[in-house]
Amino acid sequence: MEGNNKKPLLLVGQSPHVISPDNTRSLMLDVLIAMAPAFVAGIYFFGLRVLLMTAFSVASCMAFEYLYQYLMKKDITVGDLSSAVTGVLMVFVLPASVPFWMVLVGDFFAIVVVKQLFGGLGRNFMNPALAGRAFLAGWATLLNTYPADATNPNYVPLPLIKNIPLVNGQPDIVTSATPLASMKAGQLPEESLLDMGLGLESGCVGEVSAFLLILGGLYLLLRKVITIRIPLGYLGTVAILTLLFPPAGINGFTWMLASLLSGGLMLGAFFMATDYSTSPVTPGAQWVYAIGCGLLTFVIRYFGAYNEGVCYSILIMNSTVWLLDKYIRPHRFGSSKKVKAEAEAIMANIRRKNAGGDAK
Amino acid sequence: MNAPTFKGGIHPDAHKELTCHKPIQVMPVPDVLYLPLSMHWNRPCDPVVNPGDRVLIGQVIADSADPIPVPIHSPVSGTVKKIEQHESVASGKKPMIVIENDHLDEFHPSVVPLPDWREKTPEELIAFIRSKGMVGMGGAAFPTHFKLQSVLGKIDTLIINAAECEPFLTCDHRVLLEHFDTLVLGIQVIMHILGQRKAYLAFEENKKDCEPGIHKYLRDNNIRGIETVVLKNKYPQGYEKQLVKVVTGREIPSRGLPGDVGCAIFNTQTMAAIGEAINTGIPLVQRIVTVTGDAIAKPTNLEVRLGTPLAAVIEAAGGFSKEPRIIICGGPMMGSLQYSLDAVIVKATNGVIAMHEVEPRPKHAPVCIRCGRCVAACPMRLEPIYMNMYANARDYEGLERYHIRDCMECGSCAYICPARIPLVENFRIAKSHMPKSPPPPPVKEKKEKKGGSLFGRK
Repeated sequence: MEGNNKKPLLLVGQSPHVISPDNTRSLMLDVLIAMAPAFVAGIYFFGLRVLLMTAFSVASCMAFEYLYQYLMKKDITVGDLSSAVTGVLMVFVLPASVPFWMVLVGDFFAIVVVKQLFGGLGRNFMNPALAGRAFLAGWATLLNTYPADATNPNYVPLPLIKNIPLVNGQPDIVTSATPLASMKAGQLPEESLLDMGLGLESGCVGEVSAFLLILGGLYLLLRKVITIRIPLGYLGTVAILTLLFPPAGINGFTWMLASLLSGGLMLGAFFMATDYSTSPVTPGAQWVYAIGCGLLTFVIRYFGAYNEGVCYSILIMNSTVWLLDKYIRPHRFGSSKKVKAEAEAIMANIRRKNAGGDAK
Repeated sequence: MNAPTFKGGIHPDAHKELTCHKPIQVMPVPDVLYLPLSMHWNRPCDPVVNPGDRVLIGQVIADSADPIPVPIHSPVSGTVKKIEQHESVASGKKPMIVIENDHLDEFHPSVVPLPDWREKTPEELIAFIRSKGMVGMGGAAFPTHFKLQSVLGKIDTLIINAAECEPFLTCDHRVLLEHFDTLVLGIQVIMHILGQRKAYLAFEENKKDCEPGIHKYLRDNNIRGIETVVLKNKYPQGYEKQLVKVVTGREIPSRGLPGDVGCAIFNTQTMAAIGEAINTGIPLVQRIVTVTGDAIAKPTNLEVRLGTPLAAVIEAAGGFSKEPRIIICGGPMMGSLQYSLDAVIVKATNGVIAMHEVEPRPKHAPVCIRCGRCVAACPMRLEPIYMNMYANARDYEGLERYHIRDCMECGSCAYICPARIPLVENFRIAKSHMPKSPPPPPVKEKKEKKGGSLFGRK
């Protein structure tokens, strides 16, 4: 090293000195990738309006986050893509026929009120997109009108951007009942189970294709973005309860499958209930939280005023997260009474053996 | 069947392929060596040589009257130049004995083998091990004789730790492949001292290729009682609590030691060094060091005399191929970053890693996204996410409630954190502000029964 006598300038810091390749941005990107199949299905079933609506929503969410952080002189963290995820999820939980201003209002409520006012990423206590949807329930007629999908014989394409005109306060479009509406009446929906799984049904933009949502969920599981606990606990609870309590005259198993494939359950179980900020971090608490989501969904679907229970179940369970984390703690290494008793038994045994050896 | 493992932990990129197939090379001995007065856990030694003295290989150059520290020996023959402050791998400058090597490699008369070790009493062998300067060579540098004394007659399970779960490091792997004869001898000596008929030699799956050689050697020499245990590749598999749990199924109580469940763990290279001392009488004056990283031209495993400066070690590995951004002594999970290449190899230095590709520090203050990965990764099953919140709030009572004292700073949480929160660093800072011992558990006061009229209350 004679010719190159320059001493290297070395960085110092504390261990560990290697770090996992996954960062916040890459995790959020994975969530976006996982939502892509359901997004494409949304465009296929409800037209290009969905594409524009989603682009608009993502842009609004990112803009709201940027503006808030800029005005409040905070670090600009739009690059972490978490607001983009909220933007997509916001559209996913709305019917394709809602006007663009509603998307904007929902985005504002989600990003500014629910997320940023509580301290930003990781500090909000409710899922922003679901809270946004809950806020939009103020415009109930617009929110609860579901346009017929592209596979419906009466399908009329939705306008690309224009608002749908109202007639007597109702949007003037071809509507279609969602499977959940029939199920609320205690009947199996007209759609076959396969159609429901594929998404040949009416509903919110991102919720119709259960199969593609499961596909996205599997991607998240494979990439270890989420763990199986919350989706399994959630879906499992709904499955068991609907299997045990079908309406009179309906086969429990068919009813269970219809319940699992309808409404926003798959979207909720894989993409909403698993939201990091608003779900517990300890494994035990995650199970309780997931089972609570399932239980509440069942209760609302069976006994509530709404057809759908996913949104409010998750929001309610969101508010219990910190309590669950506080009381359901992991089993600390070496802390149980059993461990201490075992250790004492081992040592007593060794002492006895040694004493015996000396006596010989 | 899958190899046994523990709950939690992480799977960092191992990068062991850089050096695991490279046979140990004997590094040329530099002209000047710097021997720190403390290469072990506990108080430093006092020099017993003076500048100008001629010293020989294996000669004691520093010793202590205390029972715990181990003596330090000269790794070369030559002349003591001076005793001065010199850069250490630990932190800052430390007093060191500077020896000019005469390259004659003459041995001191005390360097004699101990062929009749089987006839020695445990106490004699423990004294021999102390006199040869043996310490745990995995990082903690705990004096071996002291560990032996403290577990003598109190254990029923002996484990040799060759897990080498830190990424990049392969020096123990090479010892398993190339020096199994001295390794086995060292294990036999320890078994003899502790009166154990059995010893478990535990290593991760990535070192499985050492099994045929070791088994053949044991068979050919009719050595019984040494059993190999293959563990899953996972960090921190080599931590004593995790290792004991996986090998024996026993769980060390919180804040306890392996001795609390009748186990003793010894390091691979320490065993090989003891074997070497029995065979030849040479004390602990050299070790195998993995020199690797993306900034090293020819990553390899080197046999290095203690006191060799990092600059010489890196040159022996072909020098830098790229500009190094960080230089780690030890493994990347637990090792310490060096700011100077003047720092020297000590008994516990198992790796020198120079890296060019280093993730830049985040531009913003990191934001926890509550992903919970730290909770899943913690091998002690603590909740780093909440420990961090209490640490940031300087709520030390909260930290006690979240059992920060059980944290062994393995770095799994900080490695896995997608938000790049320096969790371990925050915990270390918090711990340094906390009292040394935990406060006594709160005495539950009996609630005073209050009776009488509700209306009379103020």
